Amino acid sequence: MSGISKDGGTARHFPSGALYLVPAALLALILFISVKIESSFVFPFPPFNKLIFNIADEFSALTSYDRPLGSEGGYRDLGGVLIGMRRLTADIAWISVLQYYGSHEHHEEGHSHDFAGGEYPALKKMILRVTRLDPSFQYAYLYGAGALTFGTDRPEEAMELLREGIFYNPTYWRFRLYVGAILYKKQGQFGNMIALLEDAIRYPDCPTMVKSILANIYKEKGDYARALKIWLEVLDNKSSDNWYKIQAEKQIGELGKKLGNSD
Amino acid sequence: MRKIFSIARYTFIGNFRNRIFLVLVLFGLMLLGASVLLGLLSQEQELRMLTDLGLAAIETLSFLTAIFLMGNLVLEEMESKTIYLILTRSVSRGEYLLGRFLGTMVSVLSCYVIMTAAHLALLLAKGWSPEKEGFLYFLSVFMSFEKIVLISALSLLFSLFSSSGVVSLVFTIFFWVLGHFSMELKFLAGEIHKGYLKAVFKFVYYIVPHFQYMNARDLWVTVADKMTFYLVEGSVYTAVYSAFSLVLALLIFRKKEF
Repeated sequence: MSGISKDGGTARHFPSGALYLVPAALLALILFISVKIESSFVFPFPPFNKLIFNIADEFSALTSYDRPLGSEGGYRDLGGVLIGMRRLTADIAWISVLQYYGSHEHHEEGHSHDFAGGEYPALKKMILRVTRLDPSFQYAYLYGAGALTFGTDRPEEAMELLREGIFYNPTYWRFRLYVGAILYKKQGQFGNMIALLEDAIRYPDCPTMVKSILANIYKEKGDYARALKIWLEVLDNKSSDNWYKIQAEKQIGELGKKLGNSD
Repeated sequence: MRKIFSIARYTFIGNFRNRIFLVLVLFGLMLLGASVLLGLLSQEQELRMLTDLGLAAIETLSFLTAIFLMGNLVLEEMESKTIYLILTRSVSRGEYLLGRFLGTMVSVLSCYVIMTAAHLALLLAKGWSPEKEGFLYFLSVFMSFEKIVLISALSLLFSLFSSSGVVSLVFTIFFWVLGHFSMELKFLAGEIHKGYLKAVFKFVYYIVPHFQYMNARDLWVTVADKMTFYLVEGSVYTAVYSAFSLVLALLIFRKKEF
């Protein structure tokens, strides 16, 4: 059944043979461009077999309540990779890290830790899950290194994280600042460590968590004036998270009293 | 040329009569929800997340709009027989197809521009600094639209050879995924030791559309020192691949009987 001619209402068309040459020529051009682009294109992401999918497997013996929050569902990351959305998938995985690090760890004895006060055994892997998806997520390395070194006292894990960060971001020198601070901490050279942390907090991409760590170190050392100044900066910073702002207000009140300044 | 523009105009108006703009409402609601939710959940990375989510949503909604429109572009007119009304006039099949393609792309582009403007307004309201990441942002937006053009051309091709909207959709989505996964295919080819399998992977790798070349949205800071590469080579690649798909679509359409 042919209700209409193949050429529509008009008879204007190329000779058939010539028209078939066009896609052949274009295909050859596509192959040529592909090969040319490939020689200069650097894919900055690790291959998909380096992604971390199975964090929850290590904790399968635990009841679901005790398993690290957000450690399941890593295979969903593959979905993001398949549609070219590594950054967005890394963002979602990062929210899981924050929820995990902010969760109250439950123990058999019946007590639970405060925010960021637990051991968080899956923390390194959770952060690596994020950074393998998007190795340019420098904030995640910095936050992770700070949390692992000063929050959970696992500087070795923090060093592993930073080593990978330096591998994927060789020109981002701030990682080396953190490496130095961690090494000084391990050697007990707290003066040098504080000097490096002071340097680190001057930069806008420094996580507020690192600032709060430094403020707490000063407080423990009895340098209340410097600790107060850092907390005031945290409070003034528009990008600081609300939780840290609440902590800052609390600490400012406490430090103000210690300094004999009720204001 | 005038005929192509007339058909493009008629396609554009038709798309808006079919309420294509509903995608904008969906996008607006998503942005509002995301801005509230991410503000609570993302700690100090709210801007990064809003940028990523917005760019991904713009691309995904445009992709879905484009493939649904392209998938039914000619098929619907063939089924309803309205295609007779046009092709029995002095309009060639080439002019008809190109006009329909351009009209649909302009419809998608207009939604794309509105979504981008809404996203930018939200980012600016949240304190985003265009001086720092503005160029990367616009590069990502531009390259994302190139991906949409390429996949639309492929979608039109699939809709013509499959004669079924669903099959054409499946093919298009498959190529969208394969195109983003192409760099992993290269990695897999490197891991395989069997000669013939390696050759198959390599062939597929070179022949599938490489959406990663245009994926500045995902590569972000890593493309900062390769802007020219992305703009020039990515755009040439898109243009040639889209032209290839459209010429093939035209060849199939020439042979089609209604």
